[in-house]
Amino acid sequence: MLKITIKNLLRQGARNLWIFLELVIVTLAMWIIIEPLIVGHADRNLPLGFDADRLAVLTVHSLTPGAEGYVQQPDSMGFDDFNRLMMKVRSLPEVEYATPVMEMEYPGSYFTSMMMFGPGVPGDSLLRYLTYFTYYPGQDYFETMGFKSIDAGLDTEALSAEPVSQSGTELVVTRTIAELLWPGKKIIGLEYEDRWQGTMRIKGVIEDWRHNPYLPSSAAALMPMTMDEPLRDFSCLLRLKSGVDMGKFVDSLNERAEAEINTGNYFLSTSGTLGETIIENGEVNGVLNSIRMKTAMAVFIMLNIFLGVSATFYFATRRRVTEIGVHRSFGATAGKIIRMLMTESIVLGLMSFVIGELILLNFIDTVFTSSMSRMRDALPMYDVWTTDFWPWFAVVSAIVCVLLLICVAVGTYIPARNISKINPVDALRHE
Amino acid sequence: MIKLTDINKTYRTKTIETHALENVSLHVAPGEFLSIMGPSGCGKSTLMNIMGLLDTPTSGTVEIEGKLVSEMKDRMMARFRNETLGFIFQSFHLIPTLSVLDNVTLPLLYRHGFHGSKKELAREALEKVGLAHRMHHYPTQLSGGQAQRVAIARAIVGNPKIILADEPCGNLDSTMSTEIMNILHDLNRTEGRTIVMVTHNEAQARETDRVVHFFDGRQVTI
Amino acid sequence: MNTLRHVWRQMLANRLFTGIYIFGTALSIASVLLMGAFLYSKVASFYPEDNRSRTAYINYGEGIDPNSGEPYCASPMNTRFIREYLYTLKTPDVVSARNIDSRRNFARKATGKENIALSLAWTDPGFFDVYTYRFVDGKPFSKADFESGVATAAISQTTAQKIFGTVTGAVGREIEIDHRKYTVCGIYKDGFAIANHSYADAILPYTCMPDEVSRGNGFGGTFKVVILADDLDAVREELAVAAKRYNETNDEMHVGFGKSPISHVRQALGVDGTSFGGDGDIPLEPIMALFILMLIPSLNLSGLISGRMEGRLVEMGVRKSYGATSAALLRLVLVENFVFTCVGALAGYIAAWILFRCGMLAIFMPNPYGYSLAMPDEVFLSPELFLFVFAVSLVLNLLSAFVPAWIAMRKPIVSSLKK
Repeated sequence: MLKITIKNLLRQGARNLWIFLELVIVTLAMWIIIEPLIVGHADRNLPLGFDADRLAVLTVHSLTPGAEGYVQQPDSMGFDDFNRLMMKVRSLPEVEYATPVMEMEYPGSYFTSMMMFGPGVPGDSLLRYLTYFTYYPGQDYFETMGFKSIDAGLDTEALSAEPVSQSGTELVVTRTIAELLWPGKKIIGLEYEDRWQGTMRIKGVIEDWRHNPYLPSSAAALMPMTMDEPLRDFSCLLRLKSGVDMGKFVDSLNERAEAEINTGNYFLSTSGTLGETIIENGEVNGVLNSIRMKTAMAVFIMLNIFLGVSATFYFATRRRVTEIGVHRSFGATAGKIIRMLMTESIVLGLMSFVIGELILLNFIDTVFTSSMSRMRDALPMYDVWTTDFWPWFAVVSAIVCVLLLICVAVGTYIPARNISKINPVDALRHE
Repeated sequence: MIKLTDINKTYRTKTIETHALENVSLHVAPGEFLSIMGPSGCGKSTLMNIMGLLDTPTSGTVEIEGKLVSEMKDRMMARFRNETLGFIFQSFHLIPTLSVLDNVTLPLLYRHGFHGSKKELAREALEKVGLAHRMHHYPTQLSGGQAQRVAIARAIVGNPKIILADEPCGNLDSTMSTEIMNILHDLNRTEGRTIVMVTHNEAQARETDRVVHFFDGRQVTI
Repeated sequence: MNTLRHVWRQMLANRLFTGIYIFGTALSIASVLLMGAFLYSKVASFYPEDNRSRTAYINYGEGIDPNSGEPYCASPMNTRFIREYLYTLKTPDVVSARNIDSRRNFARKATGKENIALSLAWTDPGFFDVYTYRFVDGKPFSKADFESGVATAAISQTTAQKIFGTVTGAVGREIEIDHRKYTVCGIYKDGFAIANHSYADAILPYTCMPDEVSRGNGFGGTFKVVILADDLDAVREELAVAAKRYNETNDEMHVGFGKSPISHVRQALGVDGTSFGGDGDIPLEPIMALFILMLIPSLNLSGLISGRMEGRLVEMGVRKSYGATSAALLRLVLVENFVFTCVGALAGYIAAWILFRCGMLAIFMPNPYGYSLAMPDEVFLSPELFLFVFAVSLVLNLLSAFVPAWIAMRKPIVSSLKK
């Protein structure tokens, strides 16, 4: 059947030329549009490295002089209010842990994380960027985030609680950073050198984590800070107890804030789950918008293929009524006719796909480089298939091929089904 | 009026060469009603197409009204066809999306320097074939005979000197065929138009001025 | 012969072909129009940004090393700097400053405790000269209000509806924004979120802004400046003089203005006005997207027309036998298809209008805070966009019909008649 199918296709020649050309161009267009969607989806589904499921984010602001309800206070009262607020939050029955961070300095926010630049290992000639976030010791940061210490010397709670004498003198790194810079060594107590921050003592190592949910982002270090004065405006991360309805909790906070959270001049400004916040920030930084646009383009293209293929095959099968009649008169069932016609269209689709891929290979380097450049940071973290050429090429090609063939098959099925039902006598009389 | 000299027409594919016409020479006098007869595949339609400038001979010359038309450029040939020839096809070939009136005015659309009323001339042509009352109908609303009459009206609307009819009664029953033949004879005798007709029908052929027989691409009689 | 009548008969003769052709064309035109309207809205003038042809921006001051004279950083500016060095510019007709702090703001509903997220514009009276906001009640805050720092706010109709439940009678009432009370001085007709320079749910004088938000050292702060001017080169010369004046009294860091002011069009192309930013290349992505939106449907339609032409070969043969030249037949087919394309284009126009009404703009624009995204009718129904669609239809028609028609015309008459 395949031999006959290919012979038929080639003999029809120019009739199928347009749809062939279109499918070749569509292969290229789909590649360019779908590739970032596939890679982005794969990146977003990499493990975050911390337990994001039960995290909520509160934004706490301070009233300023002149605002309704502002209370003038001596400076020493500021910390009391801050500590009371944190105690209130931790006392909420739904909350397991809570930690304050600088406003927007949590994974998934559109805050542009801070970077260091230096050799890392003192004296090393290779300079590298390192992303870092800050935290406040003694504020249950690691427990809230769900980070796990992997150094036997200091468990998670101890690491979280251990104070720092001065901001910017210590660093908690991740497994990848440790293995990259000090392979096979025990690194607690070693020094990390940075051009801008100076020298920092490594105080702990935690499992790898992703600070940007939209990229396979690099490992980020954590820098303990001293809180010299109470934070005025800050974000508060909450880890909720299992079984708590996250949505209901977050929605209820508006009503409860006055009684159960607001303290002194501090007031609850916004609240949401980390998931909601990640989506909101995906909108702000345009990532989700880009996904929507590319998805719309892909849908547009597939709709066009469907239209084009079904129309072309409709006209083509009408021209072949006599031929179909002959097949039927020699015993072909309707099912066989449908299969024959659909095989033709799928073979045509496959041929177009192969030609499209061969054309693509001429500039695949540019496409791959562009794909890689969408990922930031110097330290790749995960062994991600999207950064390996052949797996990347194979997966994207397979998906493009499947989408193309689905559209072609669906587009052919309707006219094929119509023509397969024709009475052989009518067909042979047809001219 | 029409002079064909040593006409050859060969169709070539990669493996096969078919001689549709071999050394055909034919002369049609002005005002003559000529029939061309022969079995299927003998080359009569090919000859008609060459005469009507729808096809070009592999070799040989075609002269119409003293003009060597076989060497004309496409544009000139189209103009000549429009002004000098009128075609009647076996399958009528009326354009289904045009009304009867619009089908008949078709040749006038492509007439250079035409300034008159196309509708008027078309109506007159339709009156000659007795179908003026159907001019706003569409081809799908006509019987076979009526359709062929419209085709005749279309062929004569531009007042061509020569009419070429390729089996004009091939798809019609005897009653309708008689009607058509009457119209053709009328055009020939009353208006003096030269008519060349391809036919399978002996009886129809005998009614014409002269019959030429073809067999395997060659003339058998003159 | 009545071409339109002939085309109408053509349409009826093969309704499936007609339906698919018109749908395919409508899909393409709607997609092109959606993208085209969005791109055009970035540069076209519409309410309240009616003065875009004269609008220019000074977004950043640049920090310059006094020793090397090289710029090394850029920052929006503070109001002290703007008052002293930018409000004094003579060339522009209007100079206005607006805060660009990205903090979210909330207003409390008049009844109950619910907070409504608001987009605020902390600005000056010049804002209402640059942007032609129309007031349905009350008026904008005056220069006197601005200078006195009185807590007042002009709010949009939608904001008034959300906060007070009504638009009438809202002027003179108090609105609580971020725990501070402001008196409503006027209600204006809503702007459009796609006109992001002017868009705000509430417009307040920055003189009543909480201090902490408007602070800044040197020239740095959180404000950007918009001007109305005809001669941008003259403005640049004046800015150079202003910078010199600042630098004479500031040794640690000098200020410069890079390529500012930049016209609205250049800003739309991504020029930020600093020495570090690009020169605003024509963005390739939208052009490629438009190209794909036209190319793929034209290939589709070509295939359709090619199939259709096969069915009309006999007709073409007959016309040729009656003296029609290939050029005449090509013209016939192109004109017929152009009528089809126009019908499809009209359907596409209507579809795009409906899609915009349904919030389709959300595909093109990030909208993290759920603003109402509408395409102004001024843009969508503009002659320029109409001409654009007409041109696209023409190109689509040529791309899709020309080659199949050309191929069909070249077939010998005899083989056409035999079909």
